[in-house]
Parts: sequence; C-alpha cells; structure tokens
Amino acid sequence: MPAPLLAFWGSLGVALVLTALALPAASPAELGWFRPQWAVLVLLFWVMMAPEAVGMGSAWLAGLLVDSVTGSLLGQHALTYVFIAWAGLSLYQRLRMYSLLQQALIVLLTVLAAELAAALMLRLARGQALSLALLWAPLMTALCWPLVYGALAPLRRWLGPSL
Amino acid sequence: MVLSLAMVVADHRTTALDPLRTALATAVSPLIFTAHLPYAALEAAGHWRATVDANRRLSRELSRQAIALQRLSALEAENARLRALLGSAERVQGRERFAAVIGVTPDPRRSQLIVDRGDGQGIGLGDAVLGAEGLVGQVIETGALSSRVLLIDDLAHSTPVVVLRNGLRALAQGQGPGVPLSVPYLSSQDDIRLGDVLVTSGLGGRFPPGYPVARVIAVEGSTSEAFMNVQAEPLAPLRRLQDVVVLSVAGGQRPPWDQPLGDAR
Repeated sequence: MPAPLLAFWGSLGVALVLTALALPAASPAELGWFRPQWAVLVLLFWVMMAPEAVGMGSAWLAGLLVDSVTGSLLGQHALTYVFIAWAGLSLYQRLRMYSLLQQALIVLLTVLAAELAAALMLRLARGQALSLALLWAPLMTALCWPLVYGALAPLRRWLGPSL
Repeated sequence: MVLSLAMVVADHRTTALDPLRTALATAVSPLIFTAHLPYAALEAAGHWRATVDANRRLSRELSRQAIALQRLSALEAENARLRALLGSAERVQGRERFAAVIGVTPDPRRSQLIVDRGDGQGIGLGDAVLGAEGLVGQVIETGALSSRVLLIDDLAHSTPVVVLRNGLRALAQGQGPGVPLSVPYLSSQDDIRLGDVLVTSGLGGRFPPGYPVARVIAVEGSTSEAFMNVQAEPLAPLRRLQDVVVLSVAGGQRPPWDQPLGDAR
C-alpha cells in the first residue's frame, strides 16, 4: 500500500474517533449542529496532496465507514464523499496554489453542496424537515480547515517531497 | 455514485444490507470504544476502582429490581381491572442483558445510542432496551461487539402504549431529541389526563407489554377539534443513560408481521 494511502486511512481513523466522540451530557443538544465534518477535511487534504493515491474509491469506502459511525442510511455519506472527492480531484492543482483562506472557501462550498444534497435525499426518503441549522456544519468544517491542514502538512512533508 | 444511491434505497426499503451493516459496525466499533475512552477515564479517575465496580454492580441490581417492580405494578393494574385480555396473550419470555452506553449519534436530528453489547453476546435486531425508569428504545443495528439503539423520542420511532389507569390504547410518537412524545389520534371524548402513565401495550409484538414509557404532561384541545394535542415526557432519562438492559426475545424470532427496520434509519 502506498504511503499516502496509509497516511489517509490513519488520519481518517482519528477523524472517525472525533466524529464518534460524544458531547458531554450536560451540554445543550443544539451543540450537535456545530460539529465539523472531520472526515471530509481529511479526505480533501489527501485528495489534494496525493490525488494519484487517494481517489473516489477511497472516498466511497470512507463514506461508508462514516455512515456506520453516524448510523445514517448506508451510502448516504458514501455518495456525498464521492462528490467531494470528485470536486477535489478536478480542482487539486488550483487548490494547491490557493491560500488557506481560499481553500477554506472551497471547502465551505463543496461541503455545503454535499450537505444540501444529503438533506434533500433524507427529505425524500424519510420526510425529514429541512432546517436552516444545517448551514452551521459546513461553516464549522471550513473554519477547521486550517487546523486540519496544520496537523496533516508535517505528516505529508515527512512522507517526502515527491508528493 | 450510482452504487451509493442504490445502497441508500436498498437500506431504506429492505433488510438486504443488514449483514453489511453488521460488518461495518464491527469494523468501526474499536473507534467508538476509543471515542468513549475519555469518558471512561473520567469516570475511573473520580473514584476508587473497587468502589466503581461495587457501585455499578449494586446499581445494576437496583435497576433489575426496579424493572421487576415496574412489571409487577402493571400486572396489578391489569388484575384489578379483572381483565384476562393481556394475560391470555402469551407473555414474552426473554433474556435480560446489561449493557453500558458507549456512544451517542453525532447527528443532532437523530436520537440513537451505542451500547457495548452486540450479536456476539446474543443481542438481535429489534430487541427492546429498558432503563430503570422506563422504556428506552429498540436495537436497530448490531455489530459483533456493539449495537445501535433507536430511542423512543426519535422521529422515526412510535411506541404502542396503553394508559395504565384505564387501558386506553394509544401511540407515543417520537418528535426528535429533547422534544416530548406526541400522542396522536385521541379525541376529546377519550379519557386521558395530566399525569397519566403510559405503558407498553405489547401490540405490534416488538415490546413486551407492561413497561412504563412516558407520563402525560399536556392535554390540549376543544370539542370542536377532531383530535386533542396530547404530549408525554419519556420516563427514562434518555440524555443521561449510562446502563441499560437489553431484553432479547427467546430464540431471536420475530413475529411474521414484523416490519424491516429500514424506515428507522
């Protein structure tokens, strides 16, 4: 298995633990709306840095694992992650040139699109009402992009400059 | 993408993907246990180990007693009304297993828990989950080491209940996390009052009859309206659960009319 792929699955494991981490019982339930999508950030980082190793296949499998962790319909996250990976793959050369702020903006837009698609799907499947609170998660995810970038960039440098 | 869409539809409509769910749940359960570590550590740090163990053993014993007691009070109410109706239906013989809550769903729209017992310990899909105070929910996904529980206040959950005081049949529908249950389709002629306790009716075959579910906290409506607006608060502290009891039906067989669980996901 190539090193970037290993690094992707390793960091995805950490992201999944962060996703599964329960909020303290005392905290208000509304806090749940503000949880960033760590797995998306990890996915986008590695798609951007190692597009030849981490692609739509990995994204699909990662989405399936997220489905299992969050208990959503199987395939729901897999679908949106494939879309996000596709966006990352088609933009990675430009993304690498962008500043952190511009990258975060792209993260915001892709996650927003993915989230809306998922919400629409759930509305069709389950009649679940759409809520404006839905917009918080993409925003938080974008805000956390510099954090994830800062954490994963040293790992990527350590893997080698060839990437 | 097409494959994902097909999976979403298949998972929603059928039980075909249940083995895949089980495999995935087993694969990610180490991560879920890891995510629970900080809480487990906090708990351990606060007390002496032995005290924690003794405390847990005793509180489990206590909830076992409390559950036995709940059942007794329901039986008494039945007998007092001299009705052999429920008694004539065969009582569900089940096995009780204790499980600790190790996770909650990160989705604020859903009301789900993850417990540290799975099909390796004999837990099956559709098993009833009880707390010391009342009904908690049902198992909707099992892994080898953990299972996922749908709580009674989830939007996708409805519980067939009866009013303990007079045997009036009703439904207790989940309205989302933290929102009281709704009791629909009751007209102003129906005898339901503030403070009434709703217990499981056993209709539908999913839950054994006689376990407390919720207490009525609001009854609104006038004679001009077809139905009253009745709300009930779950008796179990759904946000603060630490230990639960999973009641497995003997042999794991479900009634033939039992629905697949796809709608619950």
